[in-house]
Amino acid sequence: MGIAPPQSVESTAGPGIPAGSGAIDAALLEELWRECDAAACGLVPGEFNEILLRVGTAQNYGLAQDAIASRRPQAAFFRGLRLADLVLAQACANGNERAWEHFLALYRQTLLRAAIAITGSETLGRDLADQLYAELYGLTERDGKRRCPLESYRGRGSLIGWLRTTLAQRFVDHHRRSHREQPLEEFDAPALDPAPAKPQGELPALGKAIEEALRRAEAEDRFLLAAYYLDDRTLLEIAQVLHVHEATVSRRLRRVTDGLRKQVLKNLEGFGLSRRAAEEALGADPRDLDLNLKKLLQYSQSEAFQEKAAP
Amino acid sequence: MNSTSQLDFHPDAESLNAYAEQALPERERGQIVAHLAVCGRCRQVIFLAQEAASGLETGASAAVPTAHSAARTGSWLSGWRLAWIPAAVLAAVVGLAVVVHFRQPQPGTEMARIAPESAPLDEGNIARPSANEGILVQKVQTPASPAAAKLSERKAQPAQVLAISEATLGAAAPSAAPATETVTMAQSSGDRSATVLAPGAQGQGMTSAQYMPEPATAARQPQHVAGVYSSNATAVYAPKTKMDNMAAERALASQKAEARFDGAGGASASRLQMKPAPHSSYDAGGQMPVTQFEAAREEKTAPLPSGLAVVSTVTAQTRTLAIDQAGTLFLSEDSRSHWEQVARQWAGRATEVRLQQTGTGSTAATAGQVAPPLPSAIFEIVNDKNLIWASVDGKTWKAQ
Repeated sequence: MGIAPPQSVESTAGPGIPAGSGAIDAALLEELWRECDAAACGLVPGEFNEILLRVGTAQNYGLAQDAIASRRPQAAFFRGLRLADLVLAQACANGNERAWEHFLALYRQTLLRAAIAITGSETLGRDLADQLYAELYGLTERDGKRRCPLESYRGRGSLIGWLRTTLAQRFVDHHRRSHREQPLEEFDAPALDPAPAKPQGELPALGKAIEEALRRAEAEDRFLLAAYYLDDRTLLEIAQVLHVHEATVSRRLRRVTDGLRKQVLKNLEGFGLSRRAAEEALGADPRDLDLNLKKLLQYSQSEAFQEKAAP
Repeated sequence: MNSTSQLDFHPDAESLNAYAEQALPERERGQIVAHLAVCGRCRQVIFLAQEAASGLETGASAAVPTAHSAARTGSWLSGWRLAWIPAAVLAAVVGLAVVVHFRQPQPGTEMARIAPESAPLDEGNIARPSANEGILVQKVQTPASPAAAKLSERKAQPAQVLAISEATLGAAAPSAAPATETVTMAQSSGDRSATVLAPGAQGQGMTSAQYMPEPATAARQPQHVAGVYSSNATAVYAPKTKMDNMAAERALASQKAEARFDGAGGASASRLQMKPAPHSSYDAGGQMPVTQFEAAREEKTAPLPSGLAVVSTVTAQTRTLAIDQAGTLFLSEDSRSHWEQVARQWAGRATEVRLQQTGTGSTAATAGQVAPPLPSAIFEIVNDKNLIWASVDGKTWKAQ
């Protein structure tokens, strides 16, 4: 299906167009129109061009801030995106009814099944999916302005993946919030252990050595350790997230734990213990150690992200 | 750089999803991993989303893949997927070969049974035999097949197959209807002689005849009856001169039967049957299944004192005569439990022992006609020159 791009676009189309001018090559625009099947979303060429311009200029077509995007970088940028999903999401965010119909036809059942899978309950899943639909439809307003989460979709991953992740975020945030609101009487608090004996001998050194080793571990190694030991995820689950085989995850975990052990030994030796004493210290009962591994693993020196968790 | 143990800020769904779909550049991916390492909430989000994705065959695959994602998904693992195809084919071939190899039939444990043409059987009556209806036991020793010969040599006694057929006797049966007989075919590796024992329903004694499995007339066409070759009234009493033909025919039948057992016989061996017929093979007296009866009988049968294989044997009531491979005659008067050697009273080498009915002089019979059961029987010995000696008690013999 061909389109006749708006005159303003056509007149400025061509190689070497300054990115700042917001123009997209006309031939490229027509190709992308066909590839995205934008007509199925009820878009007209002018709307399509506007969406692409907004997306492209927001990231300067993937180039440096003051660079000028010619046709080739523009094409590379758009073809690196899930453009069909992006156009659909943007059209829905703009309130295009036909786009919404298309969206619902494509994702309604899928989204419902994903919500049920995430919550583990059909009732909760339906509630979660309905709540997200309402949110996506723009029923929520902020500062008097209709707000649609689909606007934040930038097409780097698939739209269905984005929807699943959004569902999971909503569910986790809701769970954490409601978990905090759990009444105290429902807790079956275990009896307090007697006060731990004051660590003696090499135990304090061992604690420090472990802390130091964990702090020095690579981020991906700490992610593996946290997912496997703290979250009790299986090798298969971790492998699916990392897109590797289970055996690879297993080998990596073994490598990480071996490396940690060596690092702890090294740290202990650095604290003045002999090799033999360091190895004996590693054989200490973990219950004698006053260590919060969760806190150690979740110690972060990374930059904070801009999205705040739902209250 | 903020050191945050209580994270309030998280990657958005776009970034987390792009990370899960490996659509992030390396730098941004490192940031996400660093965050995931310290943030339980985002780990939970990403694992939940992944669970939902892996648990669903959804329209996600319908999403248009971009060149970027195609390059991502075309990792080294995708190349190995193709290697599974020949590997699976190879595994299937090996598995098939193993199955075929282990399904080869065990030689030497199967016996063919030949059923000449006989009157149709009423299986209902066979299943419920009644002495009043004249149901008799037909006992047929199988023709000599290589497998059966080996078995008989090993056990030094013939294998037996029992079959039941129905017949009416006396006034209950029309004259054309054949009388049912108990046929015992002498089994040996070299001799194909057979004996037909036809005790009357009223216990009138037995007759003796040679058995020929391939009748000469159309009425003697073999018929498969309930898995056993039963001769019924069409059992053929072949004269001595036809023994060579019988042997050849039986050998052929055995070969066909074995071919069928191998699964290669096909329709050509349709008249041969190896399966036992548990519901139709009963002893008339005790209604014991054939296999049990044979086993019990084999247990009771004592080997010949000479230790040689039996060449020919015949039974009349409890008296049994047997010739071993050396031509020695043995007599048993207690159903083969004990044997005693009979003094040599004939010339040459005894090759066959058989029964001769009194007054007939010969046990030969034509198809559809069966000699009526006679009260007494005369044993006959045939030597290697085809001369015959007769005896009533099996001990004293006179030349004929």
